[in-house]
Amino acid sequence: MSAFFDEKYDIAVIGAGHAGCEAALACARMGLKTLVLCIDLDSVALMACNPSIGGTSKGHLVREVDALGGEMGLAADDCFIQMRMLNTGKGPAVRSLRAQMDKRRYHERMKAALESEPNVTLRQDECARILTENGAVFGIETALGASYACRAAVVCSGVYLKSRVHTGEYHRDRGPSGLASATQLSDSLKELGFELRRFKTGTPPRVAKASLDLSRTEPQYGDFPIPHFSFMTDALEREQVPCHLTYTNEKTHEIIRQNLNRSPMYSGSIHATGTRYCPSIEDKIVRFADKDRHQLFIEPEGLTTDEMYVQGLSTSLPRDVQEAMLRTIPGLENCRVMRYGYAIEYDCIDPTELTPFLMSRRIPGLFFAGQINGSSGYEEAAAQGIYAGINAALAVKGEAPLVIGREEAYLGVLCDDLTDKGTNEPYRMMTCRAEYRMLLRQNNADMRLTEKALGTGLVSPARYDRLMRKKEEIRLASGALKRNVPASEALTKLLTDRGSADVRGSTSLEMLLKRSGITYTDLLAIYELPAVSDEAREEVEAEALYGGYVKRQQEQIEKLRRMEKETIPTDIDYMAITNLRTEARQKLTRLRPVNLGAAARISGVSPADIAVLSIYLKSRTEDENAPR
Amino acid sequence: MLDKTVFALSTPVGGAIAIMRISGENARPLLERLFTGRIAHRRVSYGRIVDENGEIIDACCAAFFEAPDSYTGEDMAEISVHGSLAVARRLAEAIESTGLAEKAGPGDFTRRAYLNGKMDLAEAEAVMDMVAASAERSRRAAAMQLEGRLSAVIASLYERIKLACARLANAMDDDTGEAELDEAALAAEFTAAANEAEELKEGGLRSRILREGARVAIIGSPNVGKSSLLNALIMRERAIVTAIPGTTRDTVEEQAEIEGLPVIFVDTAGIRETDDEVEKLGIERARREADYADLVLWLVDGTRAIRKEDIDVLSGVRGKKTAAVITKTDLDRAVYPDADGLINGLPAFPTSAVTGEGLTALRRGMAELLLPENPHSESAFPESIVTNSRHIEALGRAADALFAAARLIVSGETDAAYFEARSAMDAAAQILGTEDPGEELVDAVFSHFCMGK
Repeated sequence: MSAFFDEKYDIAVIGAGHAGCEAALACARMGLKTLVLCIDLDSVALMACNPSIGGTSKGHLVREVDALGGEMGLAADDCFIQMRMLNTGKGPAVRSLRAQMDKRRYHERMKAALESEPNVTLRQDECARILTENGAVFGIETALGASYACRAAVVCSGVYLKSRVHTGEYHRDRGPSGLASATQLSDSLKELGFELRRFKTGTPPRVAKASLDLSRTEPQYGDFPIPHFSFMTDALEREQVPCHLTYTNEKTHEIIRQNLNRSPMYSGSIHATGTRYCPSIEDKIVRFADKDRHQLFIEPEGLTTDEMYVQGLSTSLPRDVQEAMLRTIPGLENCRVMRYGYAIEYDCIDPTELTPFLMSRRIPGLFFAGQINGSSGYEEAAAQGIYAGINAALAVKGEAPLVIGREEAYLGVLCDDLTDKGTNEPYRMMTCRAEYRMLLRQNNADMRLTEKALGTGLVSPARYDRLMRKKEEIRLASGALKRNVPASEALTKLLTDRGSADVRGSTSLEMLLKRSGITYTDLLAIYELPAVSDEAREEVEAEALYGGYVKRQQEQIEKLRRMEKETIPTDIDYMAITNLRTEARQKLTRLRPVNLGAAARISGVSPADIAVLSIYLKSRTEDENAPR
Repeated sequence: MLDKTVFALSTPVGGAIAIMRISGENARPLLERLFTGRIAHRRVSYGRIVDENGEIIDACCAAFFEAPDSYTGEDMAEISVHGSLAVARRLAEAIESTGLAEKAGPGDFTRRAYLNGKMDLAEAEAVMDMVAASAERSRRAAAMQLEGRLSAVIASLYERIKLACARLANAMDDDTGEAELDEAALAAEFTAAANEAEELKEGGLRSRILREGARVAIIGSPNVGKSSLLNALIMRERAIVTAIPGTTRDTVEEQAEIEGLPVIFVDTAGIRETDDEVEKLGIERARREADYADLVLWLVDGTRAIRKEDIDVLSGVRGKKTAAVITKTDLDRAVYPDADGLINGLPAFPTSAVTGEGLTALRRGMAELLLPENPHSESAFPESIVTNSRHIEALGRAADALFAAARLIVSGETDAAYFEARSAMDAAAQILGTEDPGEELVDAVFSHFCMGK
């Protein structure tokens, strides 16, 4: 049989976008011979849409990828041209970092990371077929006719499967940015029993910077000192580039309304499901007709290009309409379009066919990550990529999967939502989806995940050392804060300055830190406290401020863990549990949750159903344990 | 005598399923008139209930039992419909309109069973005792009528909280800086929703107190005079009904009437206080009792200064209506309320169980605390729409969380405010049985706000 294959690998990663790169690097760094196929090597880690990484909740994902030993955070710290912390006034749990990228450099940086990995073979070709033997993955075939042996495959095909782009009356079978689409893998997946769905996304036009009058827009600058993504990055210094805010207006909207019939979304050319999170401008005008303007965000695509990305103006309207509407916008009156916006539709699978760690429930060794799973966004893709990569490698090694729960990471929420509930539109991570948000701060991603990933070998000794140092600093600082201090003049002055009530008698430093507006640094100026790193300080402050919430959420997690300990046997026949409601029986049969906790989160399964199921499981165990 | 066919709902309303029982010789013809499924002895079949006008009332299961092999010994039918008020009521109307059966009186079924030799008198009496709780019956009847209104009111509260949550979520998940949060307006909205929840809860509490009696816990360190006060309160009232051993082995419950209100005193008179470590005993018992109490009487010994152990006992009952009672005022007095009539910030009542001094004031005070004069009392009383204690508790949680959210939003702790607001939403969702409030919230964010790139 081995003569049949041209080459042999442990793992094949199909696609080298943001999911594929992380998956491949994880597999290779875990010591496995990894083949990475990419339809065009000039599109490795291509930022096909906006030139930024991070943002609300996505910034959390980047930090989590980093904490697991991934590449995205490091690459973003290397290639950023602007860093900005969002939500700074809304509490530490939802603070999130966003970085503008030089997208060409980002591509080169990621490609170089793959190239420098001795276990990675990076090759330009298109996967045509996934081969299985006895129901498990054992190789792939490519469009160029090669066949490669592998024991696991990670499908990271992004938006390339049978993709079709639309700009007005222009429709072509293409991938993003004029790249080729992948035409064969869809049929192979269908052969393997996957039901394919059609999703749609889109991108706005790019305009030439030289043609803009940026004085008519509002500049937005990066932060200083410059924050960073990776827990391994030290202080950054770099000149930053601003972005620019401007707005649509009634004239813009009028042009769009008059030309709606020429939009492929409204003329019926596109049948796929778009995302509510990232609607096209024509969608916004129709759905939010009462809004008299929409904000636009002009972002540079890099330092060596004149192209500017017009965020907020995603559209598939015809070329002439795009030109006309752009010209109504302050600062863009004389703009020259360099690339027109387009909508793209593509095949993806139903992620409820996957286990929570992204492997097919039916075909051992077959993993999926990124937009093929119905998600949207670079960060969502990267998070799934490293997770699927780690678990593919563990599967090949015959080790138990690494499972990250929704109480541990946004990554856990993302994968749990996708595989447990499924999604009817491109899924975007959102802060409000994470119920344990008070615990899942971007600053403690390392404390949540790095030790968990120790067994994979992806955590370098240096990374581990940093974590240990941070934990020690936090321990010392928290200990010192327990101390009681008497009222004093210095304290009264501080409290008055911060608009906080004065202290009578004495109080603990921790109680002072709980007060809003009082920081560790403030207290350090008055009292003897350990001087700690910014990372440790932010954690200490967050823990003091939200100690009560942290405790409540931890109690909720305990409850969840108890439910998750109640595993549901795979051979359970829900249809035979007569007390379950029909809808619950059908949903449970289709989604096959692994434990009671997962079952409880399925919409359409009520608490009463869970009670019935719990009793059924208990009586079943008793029956099994009963003497015969 | 027993020739009439009777029917009654044999399950409390509000469960998943309501069972209508019909007993008598018309049970079969009645089932044939209303039920589309098969009718055979000891057979449960699936079908539809259709009223005389041909309108479908519900899809249901019906069972038929032929005399004498039934609970009553007569022909019997049991129709299981979905447990909603509307369905149960329409079913009852449909049965009545056939003229084949009439509503059963209390214990009708059991009486029939006894007369037909299906059970002996002792068994029948035991069952009748259970049925005799006529107050309970009327409570259920009232609950039936009010259930529909309750859902509507809670649903509107839920929608209100959801929209405010969505506003917060939109602000948290906004990348553009465009979603400006009007903190003051949102805080006002949370406060308004909190007041709404609080009012519903209070109304529920009031009606529960009137129907079932208020639970009053008497707490205090050993030998402050708890038993004496209790005895004095109920002896003077000459209104002892029964002494029921409580659910916990150690507690004794006494029913009495205070200023016209039914009151259940929870007392620890039965416990020998030397049995346990003094401090632990007082605090833990206070906490346990206070958990279920509508009002807590915190007793302090009037003959000595307030000690740490007194305060410790009180510390277990935070968040409950509490009054301070100074005992033994007939002896040398060491404790006096402050100028505002308060002790530890609580309204204080000096009393003597021996002379009876202050007991009338205490009784009035208790009634006032239990059912404060309320400008809304005309509407909320006595027919509050919230009756279920689980609902009252959930509304209380919602109100607390919403007040907290209002406070946090103003201090700029948006993430914590969101946490509280979401807890409130979950509490309301629990009453309504909403399956996935999280997903509904995401939907609300997208349908109300133009978010994203």
